[in-house]
Amino acid sequence: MEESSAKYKHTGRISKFNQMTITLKYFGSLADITQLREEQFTFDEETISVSALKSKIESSYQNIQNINYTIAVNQMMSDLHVKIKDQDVIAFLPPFAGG
Amino acid sequence: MINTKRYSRQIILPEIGETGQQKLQDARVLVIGAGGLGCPVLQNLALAGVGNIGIVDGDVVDETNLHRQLLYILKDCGKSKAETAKKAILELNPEIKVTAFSEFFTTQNAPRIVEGYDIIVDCTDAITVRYLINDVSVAKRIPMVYASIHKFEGQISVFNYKNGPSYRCLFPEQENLNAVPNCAFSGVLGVLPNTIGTLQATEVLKIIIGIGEILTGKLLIYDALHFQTQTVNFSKNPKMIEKGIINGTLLLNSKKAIEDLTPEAFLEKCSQSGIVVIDIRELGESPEFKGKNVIRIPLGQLEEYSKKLNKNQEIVLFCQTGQRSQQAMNYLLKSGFVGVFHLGRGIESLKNQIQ
Repeated sequence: MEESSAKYKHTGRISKFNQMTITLKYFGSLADITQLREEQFTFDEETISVSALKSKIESSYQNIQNINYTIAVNQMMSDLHVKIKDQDVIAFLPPFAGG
Repeated sequence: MINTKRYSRQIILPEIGETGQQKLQDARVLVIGAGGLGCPVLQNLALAGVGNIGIVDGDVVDETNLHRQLLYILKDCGKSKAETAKKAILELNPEIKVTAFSEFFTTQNAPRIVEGYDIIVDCTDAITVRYLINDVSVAKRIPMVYASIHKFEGQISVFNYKNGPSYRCLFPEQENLNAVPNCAFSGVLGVLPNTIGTLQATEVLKIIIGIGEILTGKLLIYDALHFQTQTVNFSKNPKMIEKGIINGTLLLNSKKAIEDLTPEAFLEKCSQSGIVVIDIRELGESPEFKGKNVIRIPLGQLEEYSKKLNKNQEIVLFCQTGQRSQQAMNYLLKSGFVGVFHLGRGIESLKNQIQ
């Protein structure tokens, strides 16, 4: 589904220079806090580290600070220093408790 | 001897055959938690002919369980889950051996309970117990088939499989965080644990027989409400593996973990680092007992204070005669602390040593 984006890259106006759009996915109790399963974020930067993104998200949704969670970038669990690029999909995964 | 008729429909599968069925018959699987996830896991393992099954659950059946926990019926309410589940699965398949442990899984009973099992299935509803199960299975080098649920979502993965990543690699433990809500608190769609528990049972059977691909290094997330699945890959974190091995080995070696400490065992614990020793007597009571890890929290304030502690934190309690500390210990164990001890006969039994 993303294959077509390369073809039209030169005409694309969605993502300007020095700007990136990423998709954030929230699971479990994090979705309860954000009241969203998914949202898109646009930054005026070309790249952002996972730790900087984490800070941004935690300041937007302060209750997230109290929750233990793991971050995955493009379906791969990620360290805080990993750089996020335009079009990346970031998942915020808390451990579930129920059984 | 295997009853080839009962299992004929799966023996006929070339991937299983009589050899695979014999492996199932010889397998020893411990299922911790006989609730929403545990019921479908137990049901499926029993039907498939897993020969030795252990069930751990200290809870009793409650009417609020019946919308999802399919081994129980209304007249079971108030009875031990482990015993009731044992009876139910033996009715499904009388040819297997089942052991019921009607107790919650704790650091104290873990060494005794896990003895002899080859696979642990985590069907609990508390994060602290998951770390405990992880550490025990890392130290014993046996796989842990994990799942947990939240409202309409479920997670499943296999940890410690052939030296693969562990629960701690995926979710490193963090202190001072809010407790993660369980089903009683946040609710759950009745069918969801049955879906996820059935997937757990599938992984267990594949591991035993040695077929297919195992869900190791991957976390599967299933969203029943939107019918979406997502897989996240994760890798081994050597530090987290080591932490699990250290915790688990310490625990398994302390085979005679007795909650009531002798004066000698108490002093030994007081000299170890990383243990919180709490004097729960009122502030004026004497003799005073000093030590680097000793703090004074009168019994009445313990509830408030314990909220600040990590539930895996090892805690040693003492009072004058052992009565109040026993009460405090029971309270902490009930609220989910897993490593709590007390000085059996109180500070009075220590008089000679402190003077």
